[in-house]
Amino acid sequence: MTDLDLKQDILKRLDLADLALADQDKILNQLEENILAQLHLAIIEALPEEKRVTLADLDETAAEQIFQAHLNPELIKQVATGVVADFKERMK
Amino acid sequence: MENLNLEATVESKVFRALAAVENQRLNLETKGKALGVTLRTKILRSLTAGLVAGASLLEMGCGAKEVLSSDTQTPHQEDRFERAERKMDQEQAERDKVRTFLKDQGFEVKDSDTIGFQKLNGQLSLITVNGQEVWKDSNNQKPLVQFEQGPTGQQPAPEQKTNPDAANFL
Repeated sequence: MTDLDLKQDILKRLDLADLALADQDKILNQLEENILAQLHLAIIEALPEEKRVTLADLDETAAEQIFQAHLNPELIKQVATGVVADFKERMK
Repeated sequence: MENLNLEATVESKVFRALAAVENQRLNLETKGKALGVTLRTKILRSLTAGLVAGASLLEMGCGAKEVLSSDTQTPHQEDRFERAERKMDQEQAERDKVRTFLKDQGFEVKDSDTIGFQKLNGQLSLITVNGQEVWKDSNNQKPLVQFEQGPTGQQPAPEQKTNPDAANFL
């Protein structure tokens, strides 16, 4: 399956296949950005409060190490599924 | 008129979709502020790419691409696969029992022969070998199939004329 086929499949599943290309891209990009933001929040929320404070002041490399320690495919799938479901709900 | 309606529907969907992602973004930003953090999605973008076996976040979110490594199986998927595996094992075990039963009855059954069977109320009621009916349960008032030759060319044993009790065989 090519990337284009996958994109079409995603658009169909989101019921966005009939929109103009520019609109499709804008929505998909923002939705992906929202998944990343929710992932960020999920990791922060899982941290003890004192570590949350520290994370806010960390430079990129140090923050990356903390994220890396807490990220896993299970969490990514769970968050991505949740954000997409929330998007569909808001579309109704 | 119909085209105008269609355009209006699509236009309304664009607005709803754009509003949906924008509201989501604002909501997340507000949550981030409440937690005292600035969202660093750029770092996460590169980190997630290496963790989801080539699938994009949207593919995962929509279920457009199932990532089937053991790390990413949902409990539901695991359950489904385990059930299918158990069923296959059970069917194979039953087929092996039927094969042994046929051999005990004097039929020569090769490993390459395809054994089929039916159960009635949990009891063996019919056996086929390579699609040919070779045995029926007389307890269910069905006659025992008489053979000139066994399914692989061997004569069945003479005592085969009476049907062995198949109750609770499986």
